[in-house]
Amino acid sequence: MSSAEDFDLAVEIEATVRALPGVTGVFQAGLTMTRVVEVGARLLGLRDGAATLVVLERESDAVRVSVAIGVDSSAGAVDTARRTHAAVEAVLRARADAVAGIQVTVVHIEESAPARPPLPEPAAPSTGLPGVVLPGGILSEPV
Amino acid sequence: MTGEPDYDLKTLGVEPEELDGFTLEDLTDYLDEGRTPPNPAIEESAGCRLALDALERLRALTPELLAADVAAEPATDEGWVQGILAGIALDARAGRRIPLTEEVPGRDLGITEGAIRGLIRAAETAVPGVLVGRCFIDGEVEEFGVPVRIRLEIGVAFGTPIPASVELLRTEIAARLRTHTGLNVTGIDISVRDVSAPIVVAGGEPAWPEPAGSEPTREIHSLDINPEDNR
Repeated sequence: MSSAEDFDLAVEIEATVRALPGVTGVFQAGLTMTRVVEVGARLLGLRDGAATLVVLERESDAVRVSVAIGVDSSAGAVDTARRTHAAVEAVLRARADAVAGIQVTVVHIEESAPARPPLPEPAAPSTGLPGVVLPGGILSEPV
Repeated sequence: MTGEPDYDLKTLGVEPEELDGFTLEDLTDYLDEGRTPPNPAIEESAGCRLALDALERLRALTPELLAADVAAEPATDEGWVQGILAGIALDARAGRRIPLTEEVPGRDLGITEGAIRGLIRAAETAVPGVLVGRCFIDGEVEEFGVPVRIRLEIGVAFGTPIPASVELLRTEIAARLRTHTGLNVTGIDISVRDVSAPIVVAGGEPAWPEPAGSEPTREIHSLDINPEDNR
């Protein structure tokens, strides 16, 4: 398969994933060094504007896909990752591509209700003093 | 303080690449501009988004604390917020990749440690008067099902009922982790590191109510970001 066809495939996967319920976005995926190169290219103004965020690698006749997603906090990350995997697999099957592996990584969970409740009424002044670390420090309980 | 802030993420042990080439100052400026025009390099970076989330929550609590303009008077109680900022920079790193499910051939579902730390940090929105400073996930998390413990340091606003707030925070974190991860969490350790004095922002109302009989409310005009104080 040509590079152009792989690029089209990556674009299709990215669009499919973005449209999934619970997915808030697609992020930069890949290894740290890949990202460092990407960052360097961006800082130098060399980033290809047509680049996709999906990493697609060929292993002989099979394809390996890595995608990093954001998830809405009202949707479970596990369920959303499963749906993403299934959707990517469906795209590959539709193109008759053999699947070497699909890696889905949740990299951000977006709060759907970010409002902070009001502060409480203050307790007695002896409750705390600036810079105090509580005796015993750690309040620990099993979950 | 005049000119550019003198902090450097490298002094925190964080290379700029950990935030995909951006610094906290860049992100603060971006927030100042209302995130417009949208910068894809920031919006598509998970580390930047995690840091932005935390900065926005911090800003919501003390709206002018991160103001770019610097007043003539020295700030009086910056250590607490400096610690929070240091935690934001460090916790935004992607960290380890943690499996979401048991291993299945051809299927690899995971979540970054940074995303989980962001999830935990965001639990502060459910607990008035609490800000999360640092967050740690202790254990061999790269193996599914292995027992892990969550450890975090928090600051609380003066007057906040600490035991009740800690319990509420623990409950919120546990619920979030159950919803979004496959972690086998055996405990959540919360260490209260600071109780902040009452603060008012420049020219504004107190950021939280001042108890009767307490010391006069202090006023913070500016913030010097100096990670050296937090190491």
